[in-house]
Amino acid sequence: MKGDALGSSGNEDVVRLAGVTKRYGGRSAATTALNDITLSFERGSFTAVMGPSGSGKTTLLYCAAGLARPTVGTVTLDGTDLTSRPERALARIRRERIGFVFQSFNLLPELSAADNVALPLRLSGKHPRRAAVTAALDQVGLADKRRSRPGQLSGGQQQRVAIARALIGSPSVVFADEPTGALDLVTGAEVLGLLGSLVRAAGATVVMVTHDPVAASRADRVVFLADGRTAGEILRPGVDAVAARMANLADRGKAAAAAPARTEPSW
Amino acid sequence: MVILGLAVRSVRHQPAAFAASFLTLALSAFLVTVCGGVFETGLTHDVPPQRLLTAPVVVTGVQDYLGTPLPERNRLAPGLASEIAAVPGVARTVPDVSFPVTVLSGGQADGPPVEGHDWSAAQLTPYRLISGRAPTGPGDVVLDAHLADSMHLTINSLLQAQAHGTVITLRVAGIADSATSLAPALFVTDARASALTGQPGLVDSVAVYPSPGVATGSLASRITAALPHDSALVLTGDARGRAEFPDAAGDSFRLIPLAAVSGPLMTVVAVFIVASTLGLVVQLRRRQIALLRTVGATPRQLRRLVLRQTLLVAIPAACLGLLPTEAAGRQLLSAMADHGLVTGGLIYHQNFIPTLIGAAIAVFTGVIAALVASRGAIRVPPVEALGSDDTPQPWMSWPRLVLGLLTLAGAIALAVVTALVFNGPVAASTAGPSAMAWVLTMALLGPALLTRPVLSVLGRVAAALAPRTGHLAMLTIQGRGPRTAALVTPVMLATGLATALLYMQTSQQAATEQVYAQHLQANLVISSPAGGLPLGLAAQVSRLPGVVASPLVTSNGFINVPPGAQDDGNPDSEPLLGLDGATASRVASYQVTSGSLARLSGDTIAIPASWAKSGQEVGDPLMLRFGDNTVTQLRIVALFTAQRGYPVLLLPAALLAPHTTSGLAEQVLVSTAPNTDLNSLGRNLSRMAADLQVSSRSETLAAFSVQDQTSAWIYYMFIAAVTAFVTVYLTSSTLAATTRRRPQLHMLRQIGASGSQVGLAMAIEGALVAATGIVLGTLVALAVLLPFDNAIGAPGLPAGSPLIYLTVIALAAALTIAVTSLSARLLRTAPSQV
Repeated sequence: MKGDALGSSGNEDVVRLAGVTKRYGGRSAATTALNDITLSFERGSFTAVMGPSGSGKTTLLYCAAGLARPTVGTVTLDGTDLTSRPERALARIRRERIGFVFQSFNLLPELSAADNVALPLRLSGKHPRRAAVTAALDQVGLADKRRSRPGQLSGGQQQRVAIARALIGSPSVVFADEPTGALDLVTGAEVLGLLGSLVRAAGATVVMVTHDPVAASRADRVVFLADGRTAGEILRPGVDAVAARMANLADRGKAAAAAPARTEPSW
Repeated sequence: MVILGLAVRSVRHQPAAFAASFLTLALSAFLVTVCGGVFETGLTHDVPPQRLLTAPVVVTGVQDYLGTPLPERNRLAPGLASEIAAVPGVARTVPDVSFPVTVLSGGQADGPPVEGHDWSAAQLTPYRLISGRAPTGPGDVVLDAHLADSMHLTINSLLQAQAHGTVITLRVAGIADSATSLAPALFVTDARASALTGQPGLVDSVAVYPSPGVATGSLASRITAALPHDSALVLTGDARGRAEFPDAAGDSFRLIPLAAVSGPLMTVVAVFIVASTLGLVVQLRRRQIALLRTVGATPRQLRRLVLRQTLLVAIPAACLGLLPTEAAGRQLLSAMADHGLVTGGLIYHQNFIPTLIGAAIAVFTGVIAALVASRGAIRVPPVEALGSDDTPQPWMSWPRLVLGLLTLAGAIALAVVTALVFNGPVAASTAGPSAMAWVLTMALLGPALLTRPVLSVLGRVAAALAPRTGHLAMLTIQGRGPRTAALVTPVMLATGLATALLYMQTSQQAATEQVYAQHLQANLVISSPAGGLPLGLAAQVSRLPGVVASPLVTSNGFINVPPGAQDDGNPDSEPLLGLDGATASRVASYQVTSGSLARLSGDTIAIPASWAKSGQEVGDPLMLRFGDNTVTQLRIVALFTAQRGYPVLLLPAALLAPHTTSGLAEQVLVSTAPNTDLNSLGRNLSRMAADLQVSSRSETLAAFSVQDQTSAWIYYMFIAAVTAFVTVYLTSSTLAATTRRRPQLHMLRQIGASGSQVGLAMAIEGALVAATGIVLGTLVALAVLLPFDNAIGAPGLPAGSPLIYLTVIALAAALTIAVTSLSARLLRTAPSQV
């Protein structure tokens, strides 16, 4: 189902977070990673989530993907409330409706590229045909590496295999956590390109966490986070605008830290 | 199938990690099974006959009293032999008599004692004459071929030997041989044999041949019915070995308690170490488990994965561990026989039960440990498992606290029981379980309560001594507290157990020696390497000027006087000492509280004052069951003070000796007047009997302590086994820990720490772990030893060389530091390679 790049009001939301708060730690050292987040991602969109370190962007991603349970609030994916589902159901959803790409350590080192790609399907009990797996690898340009172990592949190649695996189940959403963080500029651009084109061609949605303004500029929309709260967004972002907003957020953070005792003016 | 495929690939991919679990599982299956085999061997108590083979039925004296093996040979009552012969279906009977005889050359004992038999018994094996003739006169002897060979004796040679305390001369009439290889033996006429046992007219056993057509079983029942109830044992098949090896009855008594303590102790150690090792391996796989969860594996699939991974390693490991158990068990048993712990004829049994138990414990422990360890990664939201391995771990959890408090309660209870309820060497029976309980308590509660403060104190010491690297080591340890504490546990285990067991041995020995020395007043002790001494020798010695001598006869008997003893089911036998009443108080010092030892003659006895029931006093009667099952009524002539836990009953030597197997005195105790000429005394003595050995009091005490050490080596083997276990665990866990810290180590190199600085820091860490483990292990050992020492009457620190302790801790420290440094070295790469 192809969607308009800008996500017009006619497209439904594939992922919706409502009033999500996430607290970590025991009684002694509780930290609030996310504070009352309400956010949605339209079907077919490519969204980048950005923020300074400690802003909670990775936590947001994990909650949206059902890898972490919010302390308060709900997360809905494709109309299903993830927060109320037991772990077995979530596992099934991860196999069939979600793809995930990490910054590194995406693949099981003991399996070949082809076996890694086929893994979600095999876990579902399906027997993917060799042709299907090879086709998936071909899409990312690595059909000739199907038998290679992750240890024999470069960082970029590993990420591409991870994308192939993320896509093989025809997911609704692909979540990516700093997918180009460990790669050089050229390889990173390749991977982002794949992410954008392949995912969108399959009709899926991309939610990507990144701290790199260049990567973020590839997205349709950039959502900013600071201190666990949303801090604005930019549609059709340009690199400079994104970088400027990031710097602004960083300065605000510094100012808040420097003058904690200042009282609010009464007006 | 996909799960199995994943399991296989993951094991093949990381063989080193799984190797540690493999080794541990194999070792634990092996050790637990062998302990079980020893237990079963004691239970089945299989001593097949080696010599009494041709007669299908053998009748011998009853060799136990209510389940406790008799200390002395209970020969058949005279008259029973003719009663047996009269039973219908009996074709003929053959008497079997045995006596120990030592061959002499040049008046000195030539080799260990051999078995002497009556010639009629030769047909029972059978021994066949290969040259010469059967013995006909009292001086004739037939030698077995091996004995003749080794002694270089032929027909008509003269043979000097010592039997029943006297030197005899025999002429070789013939040489015989048997098809099977047996202990060396010689044969004299039936009459001479009976005389040489010291109990003429009595036989050890009667072998019975059935008339044609009579079945063995029915003949045996007929004989049993014909004899008075419980007057004899009627044996068939393999049970006939009991007639040949009456001492074998004691084997169960020794083996079963041994296995009953070492078996559970070994199992606990095995379970603990298997669980820890497999927990580690699962930790190493957390990341893969987390990844699988993000890709959509269900918790059930992941549990199946962990299960299959574990079984893939556990089942082959258990099989490998089981392979050498049968052979090892047999070796162990023969080594025990060499040290006199069991009789040589005992057969090692290990059927499917101990084998199954050993394998099951290994496999089940491994599986359960792996599943429990992976529960965290499987159940928590994957993001927490995805994170760095170095997330802070809790020092304590609820199950751990509850279990730890339970074991602490058990340990304290055992300590109290050991210290207050038990007296003497029997306290060792609770000391083993006590060690187990303390080790477990330390492992569960120790890390949170003790390891942390001890580590930090020692860390500061290290930081003070080696400012740069020591400080570094201290920081890294503090940051990784619970993980480092986990490394401390095996060092604590090994140090604590080794120290406790070794010093239990030395303390016990020292206490026994002290009691012995306390009562020995004689300054000379006469013994004979060729066997016992005739009772009359002491009287002869006493006739020498300035000399007072008493024979010393030793045995065990049964009495139901001490408070709390019951006359049912495995009663304990008490030591009996036979002395000459007239001289007793001059050669032995017992603190007599009423009556007098001088009145020990005839049917009399002296007992410890603490055993006299209220109202029982000198002059009262007392029933005593001698070691050969004879019951006699005796009159109490004295009460004396005996050390708590070391009871003894004193009897006239002349009364006791006939109720022993040998009928001889073990030693003659001699007290000399202060200025007696010892040289001329020695000359006089050598004229009295051949091959006498005269030892001074100090030499005797020294010899006594050596004798006590034979059972110690069982503990040494146990300690060696535990050490092997602990070494495997220590190595694998240290390697695993260092692997996880690779990024940290690399970072240190990258910021400019030199290779040797990092190596030194690791070595210091190893030293800190070792030191903490040693401190805690010492605490465990003290917790076991102090109550024990109190029980054996030597309160305070255990007796024994401090060298033992120093060796134990030196080895523990060396091992730990070596393993830590080596593992760091193995993982060291140049700073640029990440």
